[in-house]
Amino acid sequence: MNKTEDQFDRSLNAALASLPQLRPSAAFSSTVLASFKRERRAALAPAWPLAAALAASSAAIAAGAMSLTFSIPRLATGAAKAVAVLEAAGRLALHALPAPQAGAEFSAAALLAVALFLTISMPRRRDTRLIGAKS
Amino acid sequence: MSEPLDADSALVRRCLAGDDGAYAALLERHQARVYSFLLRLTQSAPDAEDLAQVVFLKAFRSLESFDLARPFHSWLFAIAHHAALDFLRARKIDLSLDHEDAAIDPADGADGPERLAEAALDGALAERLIAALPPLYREALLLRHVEGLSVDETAAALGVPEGTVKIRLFRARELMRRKWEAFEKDETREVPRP
Repeated sequence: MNKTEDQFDRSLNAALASLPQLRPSAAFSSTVLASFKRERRAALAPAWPLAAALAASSAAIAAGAMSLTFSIPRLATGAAKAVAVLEAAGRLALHALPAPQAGAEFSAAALLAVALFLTISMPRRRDTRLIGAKS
Repeated sequence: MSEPLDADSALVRRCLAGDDGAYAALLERHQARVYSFLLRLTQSAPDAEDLAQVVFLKAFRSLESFDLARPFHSWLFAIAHHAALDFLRARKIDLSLDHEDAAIDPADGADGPERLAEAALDGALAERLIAALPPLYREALLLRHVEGLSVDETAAALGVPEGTVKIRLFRARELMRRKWEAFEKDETREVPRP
């Protein structure tokens, strides 16, 4: 190490050690803490808007499926209604929820499972159930 | 050093127990260090403040995953490092290390070259030498020599081996020395006044 390098290293060490700590704006702390509190409140809030929307859409789909006949025009109508109901439910959920909710996916899966169960297990109109059966 | 570490651990425990005041205390203790690091890395006060907010919110959200045996500040700097790299990549800022001769203009400071020559290597010139470094060298130098992390803490924060940190530090100092020598030469020149 020559004299210049040595001089530089000493000067650099002194200069770096003397660099001041810089502070953010006065509102920084309160902004961070307010954002964090808002997040926590949202996470603790009940997920009822999502649950209500999903329950409504699932019930509508189940009801639609129960009354469905297997004619192609009615099938198309039923599918269109189901899509419309799901889309409305999705919009409602997105609008109502400030942040992703813990357990929302689980609730959605459970409600859809209930709707599917109702669709399969509840008695349908005779003319839809007995398609292909011998009269 | 153990007293601040204990203080941080105690505050983290209080946060996890639901004490809102402990979050404010942690923020107060570390906001200047994190903000300084991000400001010197990004060279933009609004961006540094936005990034510092992201860093603290992310830290508070994932406080349960913090290992109480580790220094809290080096964990924060690891989060800050990732946030800063994401930011620099989003801004299409080159993070490669193959442009070591990036120019630094002695006349671009508020003081002017004559003043800088008189002041030798003072804080203002050091800030400009740091700003001229490639970001990956800059952050290693900032963590090690400005924020006072050890080499292994710096390596942990940056997610690289200690050897890589040492190489980056060595090259950062070399680059800064070359820029500084350029300033020294400028000192001997007559600088025309406008």
